Amino acid sequence: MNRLFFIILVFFLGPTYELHAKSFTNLSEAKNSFSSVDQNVKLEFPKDHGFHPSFRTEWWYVTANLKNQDDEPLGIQWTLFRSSLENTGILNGWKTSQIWMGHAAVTTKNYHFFSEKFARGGVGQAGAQASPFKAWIDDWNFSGDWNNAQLNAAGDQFSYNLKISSQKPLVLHGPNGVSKKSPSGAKSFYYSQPFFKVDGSVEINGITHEVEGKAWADREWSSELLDEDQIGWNWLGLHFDDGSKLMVFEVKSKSGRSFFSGTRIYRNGKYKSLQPQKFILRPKLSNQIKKDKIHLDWKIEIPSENLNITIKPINRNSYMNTFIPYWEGPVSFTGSHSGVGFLEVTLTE
Amino acid sequence: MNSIVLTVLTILSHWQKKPIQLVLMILCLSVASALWSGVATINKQAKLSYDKAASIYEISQVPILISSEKDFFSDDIFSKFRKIGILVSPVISGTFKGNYGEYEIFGLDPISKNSNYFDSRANQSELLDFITPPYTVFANSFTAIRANQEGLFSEVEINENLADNKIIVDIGIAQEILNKKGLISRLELYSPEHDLDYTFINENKLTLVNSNSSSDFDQLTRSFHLNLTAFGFLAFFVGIFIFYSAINLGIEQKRKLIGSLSVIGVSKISLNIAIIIELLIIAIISGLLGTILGYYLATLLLPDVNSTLKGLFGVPAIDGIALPINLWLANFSIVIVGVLLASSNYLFKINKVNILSSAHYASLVSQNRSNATLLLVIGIIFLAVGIMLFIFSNNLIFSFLLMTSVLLGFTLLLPYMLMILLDAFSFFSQSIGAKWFWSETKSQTQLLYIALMAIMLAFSINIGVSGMVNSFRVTFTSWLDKRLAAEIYLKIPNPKFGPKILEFINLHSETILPIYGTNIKIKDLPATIFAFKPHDTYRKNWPLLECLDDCWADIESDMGWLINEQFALKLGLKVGDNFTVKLPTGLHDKKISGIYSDYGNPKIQMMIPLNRFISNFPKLKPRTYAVRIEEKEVDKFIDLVEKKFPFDSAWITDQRTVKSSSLKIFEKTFTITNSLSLLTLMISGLAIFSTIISISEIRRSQLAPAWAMGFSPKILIFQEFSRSIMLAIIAIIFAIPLGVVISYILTKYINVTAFGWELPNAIYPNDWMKLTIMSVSIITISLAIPLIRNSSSSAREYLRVFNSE
Repeated sequence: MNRLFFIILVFFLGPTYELHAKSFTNLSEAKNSFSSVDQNVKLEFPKDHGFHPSFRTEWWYVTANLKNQDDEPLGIQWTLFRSSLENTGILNGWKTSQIWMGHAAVTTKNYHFFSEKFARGGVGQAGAQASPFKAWIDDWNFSGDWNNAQLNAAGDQFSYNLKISSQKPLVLHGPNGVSKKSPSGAKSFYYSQPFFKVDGSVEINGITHEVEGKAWADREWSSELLDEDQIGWNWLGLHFDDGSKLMVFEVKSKSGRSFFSGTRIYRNGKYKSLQPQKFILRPKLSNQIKKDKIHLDWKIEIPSENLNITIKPINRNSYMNTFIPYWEGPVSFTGSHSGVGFLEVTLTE
Repeated sequence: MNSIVLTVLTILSHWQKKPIQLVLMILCLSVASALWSGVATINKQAKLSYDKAASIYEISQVPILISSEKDFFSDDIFSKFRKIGILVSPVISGTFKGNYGEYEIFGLDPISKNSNYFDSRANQSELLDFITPPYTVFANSFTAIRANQEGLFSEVEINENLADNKIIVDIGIAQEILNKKGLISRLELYSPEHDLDYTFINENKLTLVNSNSSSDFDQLTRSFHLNLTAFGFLAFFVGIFIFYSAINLGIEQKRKLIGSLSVIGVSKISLNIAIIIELLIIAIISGLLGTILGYYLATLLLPDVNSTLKGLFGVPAIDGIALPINLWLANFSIVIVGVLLASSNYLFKINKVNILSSAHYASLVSQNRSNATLLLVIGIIFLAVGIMLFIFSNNLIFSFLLMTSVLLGFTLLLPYMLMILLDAFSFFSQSIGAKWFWSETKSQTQLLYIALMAIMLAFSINIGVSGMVNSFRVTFTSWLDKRLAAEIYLKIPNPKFGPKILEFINLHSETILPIYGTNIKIKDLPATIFAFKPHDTYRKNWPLLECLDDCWADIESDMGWLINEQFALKLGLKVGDNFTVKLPTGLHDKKISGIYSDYGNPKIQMMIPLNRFISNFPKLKPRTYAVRIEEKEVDKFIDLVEKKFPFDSAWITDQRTVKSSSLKIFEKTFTITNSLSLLTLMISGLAIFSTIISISEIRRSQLAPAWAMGFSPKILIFQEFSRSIMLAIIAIIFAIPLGVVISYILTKYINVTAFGWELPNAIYPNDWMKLTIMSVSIITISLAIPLIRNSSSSAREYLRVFNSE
């Protein structure tokens, strides 16, 4: 899944078009120096939970749909991004070119609080290691193994401390975990653990909520970025009430032709890739779009599974006004199936 | 030209005959200027040290963490802090010596630094260039040109706001340039101070330097340095005073020489030039010696200054004394200017020398009589100014001016008072011999005015200072008794053992009171807030200066504030006033219920009940505790605890030890003032010594008739000696009330404005006695040497006086 790929791109290579142009030039050069995603490489665990410095960019991404003691929905986000400015091979000390960025958020019906952190690699302030697994930036941690782990983060008005556990196998998106991003071949390594069960506590404005629910963890890394005309991103990860899961994304392009991809995951842990022609992901047009300026209500149809659902956000104000802003928050869906999940929409159209 | 050289040589030859006088005059001037230049050197060095500390903040105005032991520490500590959620950013700074000069290298991490510059999106490409090749550095254009010549940096971004030779560079590059791989100089702190875990800071051997205390070093210590300057100036002033007297007496001795030079046709202009050259030579020699002596004096005084500054103001130590050429020149020129000013009267008199007159003892006496009246008038004017200042005095400079005018005013009254007194003695004397004695004393007095005034000045300063120090000592000791009411104080050496130690102590004592606090800002002033556990220990002992009825009930129930004296004085508050304090839990408005004395602390401070403190600063944990225990059990108990928890340093101490070490630190505060006032007294001893030497020849002409009348030279000398001692004692007696007034001004005005606390002023006659004995001893020795020398005067010498007159 290429979530926030674009954000990373814009953040590290500058917001103006000129810089984009420069960045894309650099990217063609970069292809020579950074490792590329090779479908023949078999992912190995726990090794691949750690970081891949020879790739340009990488992330550890956890979203959770929780409920508090009063049965109120609550979403949390924990994200750690890594970006390599140059493939120098220097991993330790201040001269490493590894830069880390963390985002954490808590969303309820009425509140959306977020926090952002930056760090340089090589000096211990942020990093990720495979065994024992630990990904961290400052005092935010995602640690343990991928069966039992802890997750914590804090911002000015919130903090959370969660236990996440799952005995189900990881889900690899695409053949051997290679997920295509464009028709011309941009791709990434991408796997998920969508079956995490969660319990713990979330503090918002000084009030502690005991919570439990479901979490979805994503891992992705790549050096082959978007195609030049690709400009934005919509992504959905959904937990069905029947225990199954669904991940779909759309990469938008200037030409108006979007690239679609997805994975349908069943409650027994089996999964299959969804070919673009096998499903429909489209915005539900409503008057709300005028107010939101972006699509926050969506429809998904998978005819082969008689699946037809309508998705709406729990809090329409879940904007991540971070260095590069985007929208990310918990959603619920109804229709042929019901459940909860997370939606991410980039604001770069 | 040649005639001027000859004239100069001739005038200088006078000193060949009077080498002791010359040496004494130079010594006196050198010691006085040494005091002045020593103090100036310390002050200047302190300023440089503060500037250096302040320059650390030039890039950022935030509190910093520095190593308690070394200049550099491992950058691992940076990530340790970040991992526990404390926002810090590392900085390395140091000097790099290049081929074209020295550069101050500042290495930063722009990613962890809270920087408006790099946070701006427009500067993102610069951020990239800063942390990756080409590693752009920032410097001003002057430094950029030189840095380019060094070939150190490929890309320099010009920023004219930076100081010359300062280069800002990425931390990784700075570590390489400075050859300090993996090391940093400090951590800038962005988290609130009260989020800090002090145990963690101590474990990592770091010290928190609060930005407000360090950027305000100048402000904070200004009073202290002003105090030094005032005493330094006073010493210099006394020195110049004495020089004035010495050089004027010299005229009388040189009168004949100058007359002869005029007779042989040396013009007045040449004479003046020659005299100025003579003075300049004396001034240059004294200035050179004075600045060298001053340098050593500064080095000698520095440890005490440092311990005062550190103990009292918490500012970093002043680096070793250096004497840069500009400072040296400044000190030196002050000596020259002082000498020339003191000699202006001398030049004036030289020009009025009547070449035909020879004996002028009578004229000198009558001149001095009119001088005494003039001095009386000037003294009264000074006292009038003093009264005005007394009414309007509200700051430190005014208070010092008040002290100076009172000192000078009273001292200038001395000659006239002596005249009246001696006239009275003479009037009531019956015998001719006694009348002669008093009349002789009067004429001797007129030659000794200046030296006697110097003694009076120095003595009264000593009485004043010792009065202040004693008042302070007494107040401080009784204050310590109240403040340190608990029998045992313990500082948990390792937080890991904290619970175990407390549990053990709990078995033996019912009362364990935590002592801890944190720095906050009150009305933008640096302040400390302390927690206290409501207990009889506070209710019965805390040194309250003012208190509302039932104030402890108010304070303990968090209905009223308990603040220190400095708080009340700085913000103009008194008990009963309402005051709002911003704490992490919000704004709190309460009345001031109590004000306590808090000596030795320049900062404002307040105390709130423990539970209220915890709700505001939940992350802070106490490490120091006061333990109440039966007095007789103390030693046994300490032994028991030390055996069970054998930590290295004195982590558990009894009240007596804490008190004595507090007193020791306290005493240091006044070491400087004491040494300076004592040195002033010694200069006054030198004054009378040199004066007696100078006047002995003049006096010989006075004593010759007495000798002719049959008084033996021994008796004459003894009379001279007792007269001088008597005059000195009278000056000292006059100085005592002046000293009391000075002590009052010091305790009631200077202390309040300089330190922020007021002292009860008490009188210490025992001290006066001690000082009198010491001064009289100094004076006796000063007098004895020249008079013993004179006692060898033979009858022939007295005869010669008749001849030459």
